[in-house]
Amino acid sequence: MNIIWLQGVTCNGNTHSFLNHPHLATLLDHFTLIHHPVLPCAHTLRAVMEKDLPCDILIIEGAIQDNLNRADHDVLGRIIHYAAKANHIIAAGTCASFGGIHRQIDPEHIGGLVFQGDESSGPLMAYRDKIINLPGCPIHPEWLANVLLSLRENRTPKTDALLRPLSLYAYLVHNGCLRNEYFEWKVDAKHFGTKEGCLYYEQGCQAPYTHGSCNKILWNGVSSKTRAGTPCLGCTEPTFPKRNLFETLTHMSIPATMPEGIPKRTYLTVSGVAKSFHIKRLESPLIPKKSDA
Amino acid sequence: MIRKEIVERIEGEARVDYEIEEDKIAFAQISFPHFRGMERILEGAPAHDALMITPRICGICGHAHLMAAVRAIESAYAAAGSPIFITPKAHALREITLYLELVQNHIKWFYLTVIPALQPLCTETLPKTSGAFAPVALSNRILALFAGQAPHSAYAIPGGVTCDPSELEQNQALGMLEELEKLLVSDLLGTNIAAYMEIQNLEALTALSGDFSYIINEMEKNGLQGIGQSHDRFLVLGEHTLVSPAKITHTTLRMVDNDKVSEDDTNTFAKGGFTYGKNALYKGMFFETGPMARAMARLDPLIKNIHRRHKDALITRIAARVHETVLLITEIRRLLRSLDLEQESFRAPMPISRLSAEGVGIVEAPRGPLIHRVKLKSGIIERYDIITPTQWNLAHGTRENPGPAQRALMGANPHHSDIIFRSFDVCSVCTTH
Repeated sequence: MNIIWLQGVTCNGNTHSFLNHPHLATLLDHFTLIHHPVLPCAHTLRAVMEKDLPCDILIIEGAIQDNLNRADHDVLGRIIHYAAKANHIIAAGTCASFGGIHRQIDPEHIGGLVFQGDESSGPLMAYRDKIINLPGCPIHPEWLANVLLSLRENRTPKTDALLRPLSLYAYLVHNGCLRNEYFEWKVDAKHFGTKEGCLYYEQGCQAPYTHGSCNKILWNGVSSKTRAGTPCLGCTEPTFPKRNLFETLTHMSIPATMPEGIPKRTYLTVSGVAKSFHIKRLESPLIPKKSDA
Repeated sequence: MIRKEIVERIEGEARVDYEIEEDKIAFAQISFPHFRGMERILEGAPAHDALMITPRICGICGHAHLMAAVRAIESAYAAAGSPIFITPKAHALREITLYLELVQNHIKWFYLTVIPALQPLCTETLPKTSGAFAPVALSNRILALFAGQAPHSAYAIPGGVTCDPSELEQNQALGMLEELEKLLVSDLLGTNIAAYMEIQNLEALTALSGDFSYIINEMEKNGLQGIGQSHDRFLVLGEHTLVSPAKITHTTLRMVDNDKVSEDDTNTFAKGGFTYGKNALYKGMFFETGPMARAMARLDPLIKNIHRRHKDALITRIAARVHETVLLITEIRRLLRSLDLEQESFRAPMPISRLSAEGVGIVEAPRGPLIHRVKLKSGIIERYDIITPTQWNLAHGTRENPGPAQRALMGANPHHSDIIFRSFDVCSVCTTH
């Protein structure tokens, strides 16, 4: 299967994230890279722009901007050309999916392939049926590899309303987080730099309402933001980036955004009960430091 | 004759118009055709959001942006009379992860940029680009043990770091580092690290059997060792465990004063010019930055030996960067072993909403100094200004006063233009932030 990888407005983060795939060479053996921005490939960008090259899977990294030129050609025009040819189109990362960070600069003229934030519109609407969105800032290399392998087996992934494969995005980032028990019993992290406590109450963690398998398929095979004590920044969602990311917006000291699908009243009832207990184990350090004594 | 080229397979895209006279490059006009406006989206945002947004300027050196951003905000705290003292552990962790990002950068550059550009000029078949994959993924895996993920971590925060590693992560990191070292020993160096560290001159280096010496030997065999000389002026601005700020002219080291750094936008579209790249200058002069500058500042015996023969030529530039990879690995191990896990990861500073001040954060990114300047009012960003390494190395001057890459291209054989240009490791996405 022939792959063409083209870039809109991007930081190259998806390209570089993909390079972290642990079995990259083996994975690529199954495909022909007609063009890729960094990896060895059959054709230059100029050739992609000027010729009509084979393309079964079109991968787009970066946001789409009107009048963006690369190699002296209008990028969007060439994307549409190959979109018509390709059997599948993959939006690699949040920018190509929803507009992401780069959309913030000029939301009128910069956005995703078929979504502008969460609004369904965009320059590739005619090819919507072919599109698979793989948001994430950046994309997780295993997520992309997984979809490529499905397509190679002629299986088209089932997706949600935002065209994200369910096998990867049905989960919340919260699922598999090592801090889940602290969430259940409403024990917040006192501050950054701790192994203990949930980051949802004060540190701005968006994992309970962000779709992605960051804590199922770990990053770089070993970790995730929440495992490193960093709040989930919600980067797989069309609302990314929000503002004030390291602080939880609260109303009457209750997080303003509820965990996905949980009614506020239900949440308040359960958390009120959980909070009424003091569980010594959860309030103690996992590994005491000398200074804790 | 003018030869127009669009340079692909770099970070982003650059355009070079070569003016060729009598089969030599007389001048090269370098421009960066894209613009993103990252500084603008920071205006009005809460200060901490810079920790998330600025790494997304660049997919290959985002961690350097994170470190510059956190240093800038911490410097604003100091300017406001409320200095932040992070623990030695937090400081060491920040250096470890920054160095790991440098390592993966250097390896990518050597295998994915330098080797393909050298191949057409060499008689033998050069090592495969896929040599980069395993060490790159492994460097980033070690980085992620502490920073959560690579690229685009946000784990450094004013007051320290968000992670609180245990002996488990420390041991995992040391074990993976040993694996990484093994890969580099067998493929890149062809000798063990201890033996490599003894090497102090070009002869001893070329006697090795790894990809590094293979490339150096091929350059010599094909008459490429002397090409790509520039101004022979170097600048280091970031303070790190491996290097300190210095200005080097004619091999003389001098202290630097950050107030002497300036930006020049006279060539930009905003001023009726032809590029989105602004020039970075020190005392109004162009300087080369990056691994070769850092080697000169460190008085590195091997690189100084190569420099003595070939000055700041392509061969010295390449050797300095590969050599730095080895020094970084050794330093990462020392720092990992030195971690005192009893220390705090984070100390809460004064609430940022009370902070109104200006700060500057400077780090040595893979390609040289990265500068973030921030102005905060009640914790909100009023102004954010970024100077990236490529603005130094790819600065655009005149025939009389060319930028470092221009100077290296002037007088060169046109067939050598591609490798000389790429030896500065152009990062267009950073330049046109």
